[in-house]
Amino acid sequence: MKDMMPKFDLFQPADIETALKLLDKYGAKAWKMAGGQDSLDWFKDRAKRPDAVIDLSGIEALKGIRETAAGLEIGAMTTLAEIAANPIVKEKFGLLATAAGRVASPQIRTVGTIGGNVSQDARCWYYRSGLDCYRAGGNTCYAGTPQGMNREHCLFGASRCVAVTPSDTAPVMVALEAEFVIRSSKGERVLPADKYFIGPAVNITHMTVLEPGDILMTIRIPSKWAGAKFYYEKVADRNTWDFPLVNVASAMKVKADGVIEDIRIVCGAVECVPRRLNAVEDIVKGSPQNEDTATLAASSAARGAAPLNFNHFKIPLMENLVKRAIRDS
Amino acid sequence: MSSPRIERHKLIDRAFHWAMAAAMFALLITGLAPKLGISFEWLLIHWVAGLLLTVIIVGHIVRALFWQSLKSMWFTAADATAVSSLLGKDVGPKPGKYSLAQRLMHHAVTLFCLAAIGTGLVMLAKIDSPLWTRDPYLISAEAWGLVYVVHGLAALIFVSLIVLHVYFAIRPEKLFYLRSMVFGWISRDEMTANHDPALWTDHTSRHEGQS
Repeated sequence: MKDMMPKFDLFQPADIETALKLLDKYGAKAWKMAGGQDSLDWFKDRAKRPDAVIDLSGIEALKGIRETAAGLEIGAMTTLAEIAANPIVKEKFGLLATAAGRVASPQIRTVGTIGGNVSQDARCWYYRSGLDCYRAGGNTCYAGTPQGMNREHCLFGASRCVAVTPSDTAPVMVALEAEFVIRSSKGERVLPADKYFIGPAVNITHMTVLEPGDILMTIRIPSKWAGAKFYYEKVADRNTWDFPLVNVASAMKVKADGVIEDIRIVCGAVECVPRRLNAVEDIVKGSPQNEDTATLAASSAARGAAPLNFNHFKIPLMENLVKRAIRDS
Repeated sequence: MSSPRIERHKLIDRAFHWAMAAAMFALLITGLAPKLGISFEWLLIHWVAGLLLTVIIVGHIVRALFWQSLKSMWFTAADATAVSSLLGKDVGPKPGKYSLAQRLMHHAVTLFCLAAIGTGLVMLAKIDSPLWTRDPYLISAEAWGLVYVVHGLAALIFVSLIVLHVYFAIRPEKLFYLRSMVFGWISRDEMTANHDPALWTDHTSRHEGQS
């Protein structure tokens, strides 16, 4: 990392309309900055050189947690620390509070936002180093080679690029069936979480559907899973401050007799998008929540995995996390 | 009574043409649409269509070598006369089965199609598939750069060629050629008006006197 950023024009709009106009004006040369925890690294590394930085932190409409008749609305610029400490989130959607509290370090969570966390870019070493890889617009993946440093990379869904989603909260959004409200000068659109994240087969240079003129406004979490049995666990090399090697988020409804009525279970850091484990869900629905069910489900968690040279360890890790999620929710 | 019909394209050749067209459109749409901001899972469709096009082209080459008249696609001294006549705004001599413009179009499509297919086949080494494992070290980084440039350039030139081809195919005075690529025939009147029957090297008459 170098110590001086290339110059850019900094804009700090106070309302959405002004921000959208600026985004339209600068197009792909604009950079939307939320908490800035990742942006400044990119600039200092000189791997991203925007002409204009649009700092969204002054837009009050993008902040706050609101309870609605349909569930919960969280402004995209709400900080992770605020979400982790919010009593409504903790009471109804403890899964999200836990995941938000596991992101990075307390200092970063105080500034980092939920919108920035779910929309963050890949952490692949080669991409971050400014190499001309597929994700950077080139025609080579350096991590997917036999000698490549691919310990942190994907088990599923590789399409030339082998990067994974590094987000701690993205799997939670898919598990809770969240909706993402996106605005541009053309209007507003609402996407389910599993459509918000995109893999390299769809667009190799983007992790989300956000286009240059788009702003993620709000994340809506429906009340469907409020108060369900949740499980979140993140395994990282350093527990104090690191990206996940694998994380798991599950929301489960269990009948009085202990039978699993409904479940959504999602793993992060194993694919470019949060990976919903449909086979696991199908196996455990209608079965009692116990060790046997968890063991059976775990055995199918990594079905279809295509490990790279140095990330085979993610398969048993993923299986064990799924087992614990089913058994210990 | 209308003019007798002359077979211009056999069923198998029409099938080759339309199969090629479908594969090329699939390749161009899947290759270019993502560049225009339309996101979808294009890669699988692209390389499968590319392999299909390769098989079709190989079939066409084999058929052209052994069952068709290569001579009908050659350039002759008469073509020089045709060009000089056009420059002098004279009508010039009539061509054989294919006009000079049609042969030029065919050869341009051949050149850029082979360039796109050749580079595309090499690029398959960059991806995994059920049939092979990727090997990005197949050629040097510099050679990869060249492969990508040639592939992209061929694709862009292809777009221009297809626009030209479709434009001339749907011009009113050329519509009988399009019909012949659908139904296989042109009328004897159309043939004699636009071609020299003596130079039409591989025609066989069909349904003469029936229509």
